[in-house]
Amino acid sequence: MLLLSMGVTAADDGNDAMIFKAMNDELSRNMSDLKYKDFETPFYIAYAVHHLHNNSIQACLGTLIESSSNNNVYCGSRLMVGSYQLNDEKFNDKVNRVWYNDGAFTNFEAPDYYGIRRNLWLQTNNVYKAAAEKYKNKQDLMKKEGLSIDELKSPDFSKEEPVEYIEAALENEKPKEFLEAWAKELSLVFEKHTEVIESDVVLKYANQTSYIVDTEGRKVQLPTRLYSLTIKAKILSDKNKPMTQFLRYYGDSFADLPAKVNIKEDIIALIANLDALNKAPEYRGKYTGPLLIQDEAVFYKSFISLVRRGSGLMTNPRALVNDKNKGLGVATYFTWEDMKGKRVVDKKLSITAYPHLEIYDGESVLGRAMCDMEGVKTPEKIALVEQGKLITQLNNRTPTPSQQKSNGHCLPYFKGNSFSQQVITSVVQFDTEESLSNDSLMIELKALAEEEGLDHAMLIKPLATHADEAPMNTYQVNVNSGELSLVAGTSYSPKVSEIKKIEALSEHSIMTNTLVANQASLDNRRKQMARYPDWLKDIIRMQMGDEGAPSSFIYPDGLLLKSTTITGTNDSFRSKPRVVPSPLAQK
Amino acid sequence: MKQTSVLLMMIFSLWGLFAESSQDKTLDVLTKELKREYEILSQQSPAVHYMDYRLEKKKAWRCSAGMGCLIDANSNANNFFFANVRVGDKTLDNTHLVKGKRNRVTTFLIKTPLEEDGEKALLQAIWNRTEQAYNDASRAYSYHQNNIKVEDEKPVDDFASAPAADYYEEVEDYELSDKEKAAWQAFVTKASALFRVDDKMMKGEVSFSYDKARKYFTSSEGQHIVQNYLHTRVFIAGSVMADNGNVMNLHHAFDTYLPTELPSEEVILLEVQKIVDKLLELKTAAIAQPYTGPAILSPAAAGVFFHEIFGHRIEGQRLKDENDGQTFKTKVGESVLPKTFSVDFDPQIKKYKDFYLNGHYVYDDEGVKGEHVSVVKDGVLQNFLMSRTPIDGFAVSNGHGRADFYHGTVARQSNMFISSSKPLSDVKLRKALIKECKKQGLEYGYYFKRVTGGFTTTGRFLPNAFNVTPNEVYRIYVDGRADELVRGVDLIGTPLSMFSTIAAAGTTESVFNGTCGAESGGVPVATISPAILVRTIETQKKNQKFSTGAILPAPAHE
Repeated sequence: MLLLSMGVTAADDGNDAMIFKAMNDELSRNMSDLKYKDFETPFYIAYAVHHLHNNSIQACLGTLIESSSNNNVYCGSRLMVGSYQLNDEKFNDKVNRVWYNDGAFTNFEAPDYYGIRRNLWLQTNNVYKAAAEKYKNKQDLMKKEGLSIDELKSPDFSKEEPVEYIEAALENEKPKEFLEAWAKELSLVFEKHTEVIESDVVLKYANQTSYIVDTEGRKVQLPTRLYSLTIKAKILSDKNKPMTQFLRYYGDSFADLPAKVNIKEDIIALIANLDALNKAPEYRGKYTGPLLIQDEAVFYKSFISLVRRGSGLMTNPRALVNDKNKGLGVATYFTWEDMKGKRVVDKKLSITAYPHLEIYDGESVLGRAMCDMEGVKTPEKIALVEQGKLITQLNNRTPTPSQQKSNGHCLPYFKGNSFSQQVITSVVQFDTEESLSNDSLMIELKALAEEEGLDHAMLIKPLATHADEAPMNTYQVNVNSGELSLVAGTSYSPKVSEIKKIEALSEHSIMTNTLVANQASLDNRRKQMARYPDWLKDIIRMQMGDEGAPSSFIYPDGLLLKSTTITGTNDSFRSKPRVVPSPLAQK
Repeated sequence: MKQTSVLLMMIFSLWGLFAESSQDKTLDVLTKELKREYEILSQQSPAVHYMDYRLEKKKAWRCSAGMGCLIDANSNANNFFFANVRVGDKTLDNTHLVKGKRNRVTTFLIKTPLEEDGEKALLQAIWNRTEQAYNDASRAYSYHQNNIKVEDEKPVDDFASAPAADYYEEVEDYELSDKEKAAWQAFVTKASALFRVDDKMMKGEVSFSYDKARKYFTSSEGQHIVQNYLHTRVFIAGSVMADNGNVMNLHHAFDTYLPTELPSEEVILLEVQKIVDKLLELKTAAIAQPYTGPAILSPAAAGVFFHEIFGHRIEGQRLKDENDGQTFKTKVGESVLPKTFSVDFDPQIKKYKDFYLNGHYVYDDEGVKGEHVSVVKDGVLQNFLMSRTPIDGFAVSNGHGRADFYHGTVARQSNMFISSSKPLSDVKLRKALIKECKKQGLEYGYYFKRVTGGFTTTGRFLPNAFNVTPNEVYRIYVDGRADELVRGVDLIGTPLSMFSTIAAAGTTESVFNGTCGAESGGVPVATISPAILVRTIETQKKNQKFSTGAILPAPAHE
């Protein structure tokens, strides 16, 4: 049972001891006194208090559209009834859904001993009652169906060494007024570009500290700080279609963001890129042939497909399911837990997590994680894939048959103004022992295309900027001359199956700091978005960039695929031209 | 075509009346851009026949505390822009209701600059949203032109013109100082701590909020309006769990325009204490069973009762909708209430006796001056609340086109005044209740003192019914026993049968301020009503929240 409730507050260092005392006082009395009817008492309780301070600044054409601040507290309670082997978790009871609401979780603006205790008191009460009932149902069902604990193949919860890990809360580096002026100045770059019909500069800043204790004796204080800058530009194409592109920058310190002058250059480049795409020919039909992916596109257009729970780098343990029609049984969906020791990606590729890495190539590593939200310390190095074969996955304290201990990857996850935790990546490096120079990759690309009888090959690379995520452009590469021509209207989706057949990788590596969102949830939203109007799509795409876990990826900056498919949009619809000229063009 | 040209000439001449530069920069930007857009869009096919822009600058500060702990203390500021574009002509435009179809309204809401120097960003936002509004209106108009298969019996225009108007309110400069904010945080914390008296007290919150909005309206018909909306509220909300697990709520609100108009801290603390005491009484109160018989509704309860069962049914625009029950559509000139009863609406009244009225405004959200509307006089239905959407026999607006910022406007209520020409004193009203109970052979009648609100359905698919949700209810015994507090009932019924059983009104008036939610979103409203005696009301068991109660005592009570 895991419960997070949302509240409000901001704390300073002087309150740390009080917060821990409030959590521990409530932890001891609940552990010793909690008993509901004839149900079993809990064997494990964990508490967390999260202080989250958010700022959001939105500027447009040199003026502020929004400047908001929020102080939030999320108090969380996790309580289990049963044992490490068998408890109320890892059980999806679709028939008997139990929950209790015996009191509202009134949180607080300022750290308050009574407020924390009252909040945790009511949460624990509700979580316990539901957990106790759910555990009894689980035991009864297993007995009725003749399912033994041994048949479940893995315990429900892993026992881990208790740790004490205290990292001081991080400071707010810049006053709000400074950040407002900074965002306004950046947004002013668009002023001279009246061809841009909509633009935004949005700076989001979050500073949060999590305090965690549990009945195993853990005491953890984990700070996380995140700056996320998104720049949006929209133009109207010659066919009167809106074209929107974004630049995104991430850092755990303001100093990690590029200098203002560099971001301004990036904005100019973004506008020029939109203009170039507008003028570029639309790609028609379907391309099947070799593809070279370069720079950050290697991550965003290929390796990102591996950042997925289950069939990817993170575990997705199969739970026991009680289904109205099917009865009781362990879920059967496919996950990589069945693929240990088997090839999951091309044998040229090895993947390793380095959660403690602080600096790479002079750059600060955003995804660094020493300890996770379950109070498990991360190891320095985790071999995930060796020469294409799966060794292990990133996980939390919910075991799978092949991974019964946690490697500490239950990590902070930001979404809008709220904060949660997920099994997600920290710092992941993709290596190869068989690499080529970028020039050789280009030669190889052309040769492969020629072999296929094609007059051009395809290449995807990002717009060259200082951004962590910039628009990805597609180019046709003339097989004879090697000339690159930008094409518009192409669609390419990364696929795990293609990473199993990599033709070649480059010898030079780069790092990308980013927010990694739950890919399944993003996929769902992308599907839903299809029927939305363009202006709503822009808002959602803007928000999607602010969601996820701070992560870092180190990878070769060139990837060659022997055969893939790229489709043209085949969009023959034309929009009516605007009849009212822009008021800014007239000024 | 000829008609359109005449209309255009009129509109341009109205613009001539409006000064090139007003005293407000935002209004100037809105008006000039609207003029520029209208000049072009009114020449297109389909042509725009009317446009208006709404912009609202909203600022709020709020703090709240629960059980003696500060929950939040936040300020926020947002400016929103809304473009309303109508294509066609006023006899048939994109808003036309097609029989058997629900009108689909798309809102174009966008945030606009917070700062006065944001003219370029504002202009760009207006331009983009006007384009979207025009495209959407054009599509809807084309659909309506092709889909009117069932003609109206008597065609009614889709839009009513309104007089040009210039109205400007000075900026309200009252702001809360940091010292005042700190004082309010301390006060709500102290006040909410009064709820910490019992482990069964599930919730005890006190909040303070000061909302300040500056509302701009400009249209192609020459309305240029800038008005303020101010609202200060102290809200007390508590809930308690009875021994059987039922959770009961009580609340009380103090509403004013400015924080300085609120009652003293002592008065508020006294009210918090009253709520705490009443919740403790409710904890052990008897559970009421479904009942049919006479009842007195307190002034506040009567206000909600009238708002739900009567008010929503005289909102004119709804009577044009073939999906609506149209309870009163054909009843103008007929008796709908006892002949001693009158019902009036007047948004211009800011304060009535000692009551701040939440439904006050000078101009509505369609740029029409809010008028006094006598809806029922001596029991006879006279009029409807009208927006700029005409209905049969009511061709013009009386200034009740309202909306929140996320919706288009429809006819809505403002300040509702219920009065009786022959009121009874409180004592006589009680005697009349007892007499009626005896006549019906009942042991007791009901007194509904506090209500949280209510809802009604006015459509045709579901029964045309209402539900008023009381939370402080007493049995009044005919044998002189003390009044008994009971819990767990809602007041239900259907409108026409209920009106016929209203017997009398009291002399003491009170106000119910609230936010009414309907098609055009949440709008602030008020009702001023005396208590009323109803010969037959019906109650049903309340949809209760249940709790099994906390296992351990609250931390403070160890």
